[in-house]
Amino acid sequence: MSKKPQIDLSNLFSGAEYSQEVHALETKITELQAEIEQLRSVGSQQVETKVQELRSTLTSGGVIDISVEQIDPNPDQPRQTFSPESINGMMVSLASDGQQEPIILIEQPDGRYLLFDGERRWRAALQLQWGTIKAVIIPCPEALHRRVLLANLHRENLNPLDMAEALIKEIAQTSNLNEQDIPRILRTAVRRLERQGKTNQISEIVVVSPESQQEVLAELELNSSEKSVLSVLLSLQLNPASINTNIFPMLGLAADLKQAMRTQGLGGIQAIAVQRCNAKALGIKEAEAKKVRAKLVKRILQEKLSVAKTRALVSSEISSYQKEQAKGSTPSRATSMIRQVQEIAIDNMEQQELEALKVALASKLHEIESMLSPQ
Amino acid sequence: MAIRLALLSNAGGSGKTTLAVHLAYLLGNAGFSVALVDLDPQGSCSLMGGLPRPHPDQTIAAVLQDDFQGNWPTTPLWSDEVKNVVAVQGEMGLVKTINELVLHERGAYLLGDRLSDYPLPQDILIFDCPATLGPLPLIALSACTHLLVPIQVEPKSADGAGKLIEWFYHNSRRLRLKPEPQILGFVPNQYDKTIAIHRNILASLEPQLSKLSIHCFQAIRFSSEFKNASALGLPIHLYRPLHPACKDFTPIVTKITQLLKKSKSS
Repeated sequence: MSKKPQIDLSNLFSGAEYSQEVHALETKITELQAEIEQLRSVGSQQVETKVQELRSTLTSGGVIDISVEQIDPNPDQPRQTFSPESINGMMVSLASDGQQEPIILIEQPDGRYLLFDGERRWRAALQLQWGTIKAVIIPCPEALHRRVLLANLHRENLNPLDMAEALIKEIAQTSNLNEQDIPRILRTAVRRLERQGKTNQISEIVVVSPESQQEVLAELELNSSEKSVLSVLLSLQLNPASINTNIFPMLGLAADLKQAMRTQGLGGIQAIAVQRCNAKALGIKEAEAKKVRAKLVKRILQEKLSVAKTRALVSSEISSYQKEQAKGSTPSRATSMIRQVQEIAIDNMEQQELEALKVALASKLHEIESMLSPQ
Repeated sequence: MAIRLALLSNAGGSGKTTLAVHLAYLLGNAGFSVALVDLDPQGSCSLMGGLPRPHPDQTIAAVLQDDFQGNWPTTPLWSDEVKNVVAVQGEMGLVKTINELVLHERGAYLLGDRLSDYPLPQDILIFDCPATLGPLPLIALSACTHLLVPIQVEPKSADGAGKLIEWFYHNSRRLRLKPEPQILGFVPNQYDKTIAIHRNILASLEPQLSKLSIHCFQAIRFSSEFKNASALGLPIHLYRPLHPACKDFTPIVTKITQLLKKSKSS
């Protein structure tokens, strides 16, 4: 009895859910921000309630300690004068009772923060020589996208193909590297680190602070592209070596296998195993090979084959084709010649070159014909 | 302002044009004036509306040119049956438009610009878009007030629909659309209840959409009569008025009628 066709819509729609959530949150924050600016400009008393609402919306993202040095006062702050008395009052309150309410900061693309609310607390903290101050953050749009990505990456049912594509996009955005070059850059870097026996140093810094990650990265012999690929991965708390082995290879899968992963739930490692059944390995045309893969995928899904069993199944499939090939095989010298002829890339050739090639092949054909049927 | 309804989907063959043509007819028949705007280079609205291929300067492509003077190229649809439905036809010239939109300084907003400079008089405008989420769907998104998403109850179309929602939120923000277009709902299409995967997807689609607070309309059934009707350039209601599929459109038409009455009274 074969399994009923099933499709996991919640997986297909998970990205949609995240983008809706982020969109709603962002809209709310933007609205509150605009309202507060408006209320401030007319000197309304309602500012505090709105600020409170914004603060609680943002608190869902977490209250964090931000170094006071990383904070810039807002040049648009309507209240430009802060009397020494009011700052002193705040210092006393902070020193005796601690910080009751987090300040509100706007995240800047350069990694610094702009004050939105709480300038008095910040100035008082500076004078008290506090190292950090409790804050909630209004994220910049780039950071919001990153948050979506992070939430997505640590989702259980994210398939490795979607993950690979999301990572490539993220790396390309932050580093200006070409999307198609990124897997190769990572591969080169990881292989070199392996040769040098330094992969451990990388896996040890996956969950440390970004600063410590940068320190370690600086000591390894990496070029700038390699460094940016590795630091994006590390900043997402991902191990570059494992991404290189388990995630990026998904990008090279045949289209039919990608489709099977997305819509039928074929596992990534299984897909990689089935990928071995390509036209070349089986000695058949690509369309035929696709059918073979479809048959294998169906069986893997129906029988829920483990990785080991999948690999065994694929190997036996390939060897059965290779035996058949050996039976009816052409003599080996001719085989390699035939392949050379078949693989001549004529797509980008000039007219003249094509003409010359045609003449050469025709004359060779003539020779062959005369050899086969001597007059 | 008129209701501007964009029909968008992220997969070919999901029934956009069929839905567009039928809604145009049904709303016209209900007494509203309708303009069906074909943003698809394939120009399938012409085929399904029984119109001959348009002259290139009598299409939506001409409207999007910089020298447009406000003379909208409208052609009556089914004029023997309804008096107030017109089409603004699309055709291959739109392929060139796609490239021009990319370079135009108001590219993504061009259709909205034309409509605010030279408004169409109709109560409702229906934008039929091509399947690929490129520049043409984008001008429809920025110009529309409401979205309707036809979805074929098959894996590829379902996958595409999920991505369409991401595209929608991403671009609403990127284009700073204010007010944001409302998603009127999803319309499951070409539904065949004898096919297991159709039942399966339809059953999980509704709860999935309700999680996102998106309405899911009653499915429109599969019938080859849709194809037969389209070959004659007719909606199924004119070709087989008693066919059970005719009723499948009722909830959508009711919903749009409510919107139209609300916008007229306000």
